[in-house]
Amino acid sequence: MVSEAFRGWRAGDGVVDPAGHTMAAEEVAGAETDVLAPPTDPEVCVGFRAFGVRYGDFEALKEVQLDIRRGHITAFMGPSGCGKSTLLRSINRMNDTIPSARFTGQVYLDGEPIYVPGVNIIRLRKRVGMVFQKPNPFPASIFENVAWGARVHGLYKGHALFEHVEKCLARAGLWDEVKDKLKLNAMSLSGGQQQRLCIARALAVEPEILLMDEPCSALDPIATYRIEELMRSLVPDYTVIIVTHNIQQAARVSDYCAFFWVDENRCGRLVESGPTAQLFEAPKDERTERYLAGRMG
Amino acid sequence: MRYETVRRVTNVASLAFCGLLAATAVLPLVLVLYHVVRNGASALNLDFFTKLPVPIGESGGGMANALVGSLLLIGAASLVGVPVGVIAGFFLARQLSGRFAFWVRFAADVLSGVPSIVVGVVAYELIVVPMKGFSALSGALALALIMIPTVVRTTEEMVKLVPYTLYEAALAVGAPEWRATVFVFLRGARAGIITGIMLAMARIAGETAPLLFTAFNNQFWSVSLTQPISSLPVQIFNYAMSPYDEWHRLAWAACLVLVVLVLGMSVITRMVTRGKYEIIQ
Ligand SMILES: Nc1ncnc2c1ncn2[C@@H]1O[C@H](COP(=O)(O)OP(=O)(O)OP(=O)(O)O)[C@@H](O)[C@H]1O
Ligand SMILES: [Mg+2]
Repeated sequence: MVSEAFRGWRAGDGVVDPAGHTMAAEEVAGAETDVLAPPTDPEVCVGFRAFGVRYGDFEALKEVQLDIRRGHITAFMGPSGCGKSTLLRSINRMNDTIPSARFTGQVYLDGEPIYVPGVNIIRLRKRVGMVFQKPNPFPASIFENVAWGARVHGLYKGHALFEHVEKCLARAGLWDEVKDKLKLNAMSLSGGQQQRLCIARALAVEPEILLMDEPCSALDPIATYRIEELMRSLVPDYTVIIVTHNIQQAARVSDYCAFFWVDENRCGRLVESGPTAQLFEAPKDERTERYLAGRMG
Repeated sequence: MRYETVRRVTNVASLAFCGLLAATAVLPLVLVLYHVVRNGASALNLDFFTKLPVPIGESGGGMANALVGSLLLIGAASLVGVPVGVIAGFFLARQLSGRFAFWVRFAADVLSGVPSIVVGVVAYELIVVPMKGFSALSGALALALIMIPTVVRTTEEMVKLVPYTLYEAALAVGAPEWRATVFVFLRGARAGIITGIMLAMARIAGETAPLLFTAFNNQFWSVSLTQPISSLPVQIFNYAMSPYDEWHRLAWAACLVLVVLVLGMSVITRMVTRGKYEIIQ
């Protein structure tokens, strides 16, 4: 089971990558017995186990051992290039679209491994929604933007679909602003509205988890504030994971924090993680302390 | 003060120069339109659209068969050229590298540079000879061949303009790859692809050379794909080369109809797709 899970996958086609396998085998030899054991705590939603990602020969991230708690907001922090986006995109296997990407270790979602052959990626992505850095609504109507995902999964039809779209837009705090112009092109909305539309679009497929990669970095302070408020309103119904460069934002919205750093080979490593208050008040690692202080002071 | 005067004069002079150049560029179009309208309008009447050509010596008659023949040829060519072109363009845009993509792109570029009469000769060799006769089908296929490169390249360019993050967004809501591709890229590039198709159709509407020995010509009413068929450009060619005044007048009228057809297509495309471009980018 362990060695099975530890192979490197060229994800998506279920073919075992020989190079990844060799590397994984070396690591297994040196590893403690159960770095790969699935999380036992039912409160853990996503569990990274000795997880690593490489792009071709470049090792972007390795040995990530991290549990993410259900119904809370977890923030990923760290300097640029330390693999936050890479780790985030591993949860819904978006990195599969990059041909050179290889994976080691395992990610567990509700106790089930997701880097194994035969995983239904469509269903995985239905459970794990995503919001991107730059608002990226489809070149379609506001209604269609939200409805499309639901339609892809055959969730609702006819009037029920309309009600569902309304519910999602309301949940994203956008309904009142757009209810009279659902047929309008989504591009006509402001940046902040577009980002909330993207959140509504993600909610429309009824996910459990919402991944957000710097969702506010393209927005002004007021739009940012509204998104942060929205994020708070999404827990504990959803598990939210957010990547942010904004330390104050992490302090404001997150319940848990994970701090990453790059080692001498420019490979991303998890430095420490824990409840946000604890990490901010008493960071265990010197790098965390300096990063938080430097940016805050 | 002096400096400002110099600047103002320079400004006016450059503007005038630009205006002159622009006028020179537009002049040929104006000349064409002027002559076509002046000579064609008087010969244009209802008979032109409803009657068949009459034998030499008789007056009257029209080009109903050539008009319908042209539309049929354009339609049949598009039926072949559009799907092939759009699918190939889509493939090129989504398959940026790779040897096969390189050769397809290369082939499209070369094909767009092949003189249309050569395409006609090839169609003659490949279709007319085996079928043992001129046919609308061979003409339509020759036109399709001319149309494909334009459609391929515009489709490719337009699909490439669609941001990749839209595709990622579609995948992220859990859409299968084919569905995300069709939804995002086809929707995002739709306006541009339609423009490309219309331009290609406008271009083949006026092609004469490839039809001379494929669709040939037909003085009678025919909508059969296996028979020779008349078309406006070929009819213009024949009538304009004849020594009869009556036929010259009809040729001018046909020119007018052809120009209006092509111009109308461009104008409609512009109107339909205006504004949609801005949405894509
Ligand atoms: N498609 C790719 N191909 C090759 N290398 C990549 C690719 N994507 C990311 N990388 C590399 O992986 C490392 C981690 O990238 P990642 O985008 O995850 O960092 P990040 O922590 O999100 O940075 P930022 O804060 O700037 O967004 C970087 O060194 C980056 O250059
Ligand atoms: Mg990033």
